[in-house]
Amino acid sequence: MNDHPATGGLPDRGSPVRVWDLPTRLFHWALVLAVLSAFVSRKFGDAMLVWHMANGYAILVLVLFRLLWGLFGSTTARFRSFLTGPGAVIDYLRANLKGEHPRFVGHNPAGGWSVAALLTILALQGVTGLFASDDILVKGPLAFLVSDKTVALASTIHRLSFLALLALVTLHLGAVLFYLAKGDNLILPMFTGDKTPSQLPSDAPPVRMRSNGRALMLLVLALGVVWAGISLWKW
Amino acid sequence: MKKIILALAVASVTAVSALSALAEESNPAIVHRQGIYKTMAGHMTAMKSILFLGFEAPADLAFHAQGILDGFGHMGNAYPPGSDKGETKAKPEIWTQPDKVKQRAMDAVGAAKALVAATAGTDKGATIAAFKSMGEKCKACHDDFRKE
Repeated sequence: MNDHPATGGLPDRGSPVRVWDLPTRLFHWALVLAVLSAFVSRKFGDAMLVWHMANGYAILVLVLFRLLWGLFGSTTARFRSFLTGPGAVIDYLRANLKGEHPRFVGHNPAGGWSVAALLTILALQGVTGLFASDDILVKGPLAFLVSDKTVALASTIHRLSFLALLALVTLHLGAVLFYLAKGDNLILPMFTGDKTPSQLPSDAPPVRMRSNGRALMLLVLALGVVWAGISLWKW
Repeated sequence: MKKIILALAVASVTAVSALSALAEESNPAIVHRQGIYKTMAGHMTAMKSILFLGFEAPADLAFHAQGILDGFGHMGNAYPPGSDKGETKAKPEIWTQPDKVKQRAMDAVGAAKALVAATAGTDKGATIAAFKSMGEKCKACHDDFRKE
């Protein structure tokens, strides 16, 4: 059985185990596309920022969905399963420094907090974008609600927190490459949903999956909340 | 008693510094250039309402385009030495890279002239293209020389 040749040096035995549910994977890659597109359309795109703003709304919906999925989703998607105390993070980092290769079903302790940081900074980007102005042509849809000073502040935060986002994404990619160098391919499971037994701890607890229908419901809920949050003020 | 005096002193210093932070900017060069920029931004906003939001005033496009071009003409010496002191988003590079600033300014003036030319005709598509190009020239300079 060798469905995953990219696992490299690690021995590969037994059948793969589903660790990431479909909603989490779709969320992940949709978020990647939305963030990339938001960057590219701001940097090189149309001066009216139509795409940039659409991407921003999409990011808000996706992040809100992910928060809900972190509460009501499958085990590996739940915050409770991957947001650990500082001790676990330190142990994990220390083990890596010693050249060990601790394995986890879902996010490792450092990766879990990196997920939380990424979601936080993206939520900040999305929300400040709603109140921001480019001082040329385009204002966020809620900029009319607040004073010019607040708009200027939101714009500044929006521009600066992009740098924080860049740093977090770099860290994220660095960690994935670090794992890849150890022969542990974390990228493929984010497509297929499956990890090989060699990628898992020996005492891996079973992952309890939640239905795609539940995810769809939460996505619709997130969509509704974001839509209402942007439009209701105009009434 | 000493404590009360000390507390009052600390409170008044805090209050004065908080008030001075709130006070209107008084560096004349900063006040002037921000006024001009706001005037030009006002013209851009008005054009946006005509070109994209359906405000019915096609004849006004030429006025606003000319206003933007005139704005550049009335900035005079917009960034004299010392006009970095105050509440401004002007990056220090403005004073250390004058050639690049000049290039950006010439690009923007070029776009403003093209906008004036476009609004002389009746081709809305051409005006929209020139308008977006104007916005991009604004942005190019902001990206280089305006603080985040």
